[in-house]
Amino acid sequence: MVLIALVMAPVVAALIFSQSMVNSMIEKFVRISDGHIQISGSTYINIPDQYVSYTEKSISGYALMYSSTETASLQIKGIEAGYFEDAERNKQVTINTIDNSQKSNLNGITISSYTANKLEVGIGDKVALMVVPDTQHGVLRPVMLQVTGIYSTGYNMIDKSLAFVDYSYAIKLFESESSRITEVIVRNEYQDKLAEVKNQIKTDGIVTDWQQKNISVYNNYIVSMQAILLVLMIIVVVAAFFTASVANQIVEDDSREIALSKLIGAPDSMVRQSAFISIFTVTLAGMAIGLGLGILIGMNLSPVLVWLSEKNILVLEYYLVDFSASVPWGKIGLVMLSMAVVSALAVLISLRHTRKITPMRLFTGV
Amino acid sequence: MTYPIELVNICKSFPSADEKTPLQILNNINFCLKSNESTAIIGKSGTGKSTLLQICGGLDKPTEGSVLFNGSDISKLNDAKMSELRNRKIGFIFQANMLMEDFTALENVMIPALIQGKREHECKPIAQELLKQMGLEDRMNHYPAQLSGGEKQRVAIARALINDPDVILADEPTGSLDEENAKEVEDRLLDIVKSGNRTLLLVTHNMDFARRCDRILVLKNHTLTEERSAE
Repeated sequence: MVLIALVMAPVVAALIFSQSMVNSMIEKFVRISDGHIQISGSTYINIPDQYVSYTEKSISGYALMYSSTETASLQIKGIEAGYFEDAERNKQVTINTIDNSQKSNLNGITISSYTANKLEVGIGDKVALMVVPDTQHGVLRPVMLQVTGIYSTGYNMIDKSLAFVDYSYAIKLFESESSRITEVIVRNEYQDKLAEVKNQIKTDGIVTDWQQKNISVYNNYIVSMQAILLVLMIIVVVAAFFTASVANQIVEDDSREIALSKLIGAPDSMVRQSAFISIFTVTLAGMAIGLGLGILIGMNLSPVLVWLSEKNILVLEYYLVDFSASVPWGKIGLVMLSMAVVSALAVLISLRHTRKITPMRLFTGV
Repeated sequence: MTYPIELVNICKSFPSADEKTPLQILNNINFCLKSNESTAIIGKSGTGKSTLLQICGGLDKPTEGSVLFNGSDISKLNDAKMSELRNRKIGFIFQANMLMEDFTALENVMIPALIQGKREHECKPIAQELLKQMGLEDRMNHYPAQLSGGEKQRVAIARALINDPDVILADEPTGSLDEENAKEVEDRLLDIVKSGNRTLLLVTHNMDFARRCDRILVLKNHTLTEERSAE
């Protein structure tokens, strides 16, 4: 039972960790970078209200940013006033803005703390931006901006590349119609049905979703989750086979009692049934304890991650330190069901050994 | 006429150390046990008395011959039927009491009835009554490790009787007991035969106990001879 619990607990914790991490990464992509659905270059848009939480206008283009020491390649996103005041978005980002006393006449840009560190600039500093033209007749234009805000999502995939400017200013930087985007945030119940929602949108623009736009990132999430689930299931199946070997040992250790039961009239089927019930009950109890422990660990990983992040471990750059944990009941159910089924089969197979134990073992020892 | 147990031309041999000539233990054994009769098998150690008893109970198989239980050849029974026979018709008592160490005296007595399919509330009063008859009313909730040798053997007798078997097979039931406890166990076993329609087959070295039985059979030179018959 202890072994099963010790296997199940980290498996459950790992599932909670990985699923919660991916969910939080997706939420950051959706809320900060792209929205669930993007409609670009449109003159009209019609989306049934039932699908939509809200829509926002944005402009997107690319630029190189220079400080006196470094360069960064960035996606510049033009946003409307109050963009960061949205409650759900606010949960995904921390942001420091400039005091009015520090403001200059230059247009402002909000960069990530990652970019700020790379360029060695802070709030109030000036940076040069070389805007990459998004039309055929466009030319490279250098502009000077003031860093008016520094944000952090906690996720380097976003922080490395995204900077924000006012929508009204972005219109001047990026002239192409295709850079004008309407971001759609879909209601919770439709967030897993983006294809269905996209089909209901009537527009002359190009409709994409965040998964298509970040196809490699999305595929990485999917493949990572599948790989994690596969590895965890293999671990669980190996543990289940170990249960069978424990069952074998139990049968051998209890061979006297089994022989005695047969001596007083218990048929082999009854002996096996009884052994199966007791071993399987112990397995289920171990799984339940492991589930409880795993949930307890999985829901309280933040302090560990914060501690690890303080150690400046390089690989953590690609993960979130702070995310809200949730229990993926479906996947945990699948893993537990696999373990229960494989354990049951393996134990049943190993219990065939009881056939060889006859009452004569009491007298001959074999 | 059918008998509770009838052995017909029973032979038993084991592979010998050189694996060439088998080691003959029993040769052409024929006998039958009648109801309400106690029979003792005596003989020197190693002559095959216990093997013969195990063959009678369907625990071991003869090399040749048949064991008939109430006229039916038990070699033709499958595992389930053989188990049912052992559970309902035969009570076993051995020198080593063979109790389940993790169960109390009362539970040990109840187990064969539970295996038969009786409910706990049905068999518990019977088990309690049997243990009372064995003088163990104050030992019912004790585990085997907490009982003396004589007490364990009386628990084993109670267990052998719980399903009201036709035949009791006892292998040296007093072998590990002191004189006083041995006498008590002998009395109980012989009472059981007299008080019910049962048959007792006893293997023993204890000549005093054997003489109290209705018949004495001697196993010598692989064959069985009757030293004293009930008639």
